[in-house]
Amino acid sequence: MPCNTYLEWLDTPASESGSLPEYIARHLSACRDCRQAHAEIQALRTHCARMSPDSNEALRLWESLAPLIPAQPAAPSGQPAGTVQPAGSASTVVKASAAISTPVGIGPVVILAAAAILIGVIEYGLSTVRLQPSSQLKDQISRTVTSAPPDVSSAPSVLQRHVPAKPASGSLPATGNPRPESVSASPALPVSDPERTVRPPEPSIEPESPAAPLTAPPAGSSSTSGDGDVLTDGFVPMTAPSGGRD
Amino acid sequence: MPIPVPPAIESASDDALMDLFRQGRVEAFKVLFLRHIGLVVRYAASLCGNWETARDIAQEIFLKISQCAGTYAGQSKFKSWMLTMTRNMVIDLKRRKTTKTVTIPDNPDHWAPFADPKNPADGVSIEASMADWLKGLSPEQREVTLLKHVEQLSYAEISEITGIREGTLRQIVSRALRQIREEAGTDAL
Repeated sequence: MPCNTYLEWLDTPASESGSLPEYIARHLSACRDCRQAHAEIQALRTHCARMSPDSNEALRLWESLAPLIPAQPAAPSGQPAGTVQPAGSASTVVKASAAISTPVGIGPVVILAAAAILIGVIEYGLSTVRLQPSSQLKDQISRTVTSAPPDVSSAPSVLQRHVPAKPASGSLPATGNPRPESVSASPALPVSDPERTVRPPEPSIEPESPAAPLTAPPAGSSSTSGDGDVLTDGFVPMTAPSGGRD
Repeated sequence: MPIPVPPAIESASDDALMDLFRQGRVEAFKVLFLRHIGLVVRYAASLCGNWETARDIAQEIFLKISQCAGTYAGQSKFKSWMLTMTRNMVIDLKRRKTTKTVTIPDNPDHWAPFADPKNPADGVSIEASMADWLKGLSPEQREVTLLKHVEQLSYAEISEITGIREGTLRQIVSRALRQIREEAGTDAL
């Protein structure tokens, strides 16, 4: 049974220092088995060291590898870039790209957010106009007509068609309504326009609107019934088979 | 064109050299390369069994290290990180079954020592017996034994590289040394 003192010592963390302690050195001088094991381990190290590249071969390997090594960006702290990489080559490119990429990265987000907000405002405005109570709509119309007559031509057709109903707006004759063709083309919409298929719930939003004003609107009435007539008047021709009211 | 290496850099630690390399100083990476190329070649050779393939692997490893130097954050020792990368690359090569990769059992004479007339004959004979012992070890025993007794890594470092628990590593090394001792007691020296 060979002595395993040296091999057992190799298995301890104390052997990781690489140097032989004194008691092991003394044991090696006295124990043939351990001396042999020590020689074998040293031979193993020598063998592997000899098989690995020496300094000349390592330099040769380095020379073949060096052109392939990518240049590293210089430190942002302003330290010198070293002797190999010229200052201002890669670092300048990185800084320039960073200066460019910052606004480019935020710009589309800002534009998209602004567009989303704008679309939301427009949608809200349109829905407000559609669902606005008739009295408010009428007041809005009267304000629009009285305050800014020159701009009436650019107002929505729904608003313009209310102008003849207002006695105070004499400057806007009903015959001056520039939208007859759009209304005459509207009867075809209930069949083909998908937007119409969405609209049906809208009358149910105003269940209080009486049906009577639809057929007999009182002249000059400023109540909700009259406005309901005006409001729905924009929809009735859409469903009419032909011949708009205009 | 040779890259000059300042003397102060040559004594810097691995982590400090990696920091310098990340700052654009290629000469720091050259020091790292010259410092560890032998280790990587030996370890790759112990895994793949071919010294020439091991040299190619070592170059690939250092190229990979240069490419992903930014990902090295210093959580583990540079040596462990580098050898783990080497091990993974050899495993990938074995999986691909490349023609250049020859496993040690397929090429048992590969571990034979060089015939060097400058060395004493008894040294060569010990190396010859060492080559025989290495051939007799399993790949796992050979890898762990070389890391432990040739590269003199700690069990913690070997565990980090191989993913094997330290207790299991001790058993592997102990069994390998026992096997070496048994063979040495019969026919070596």
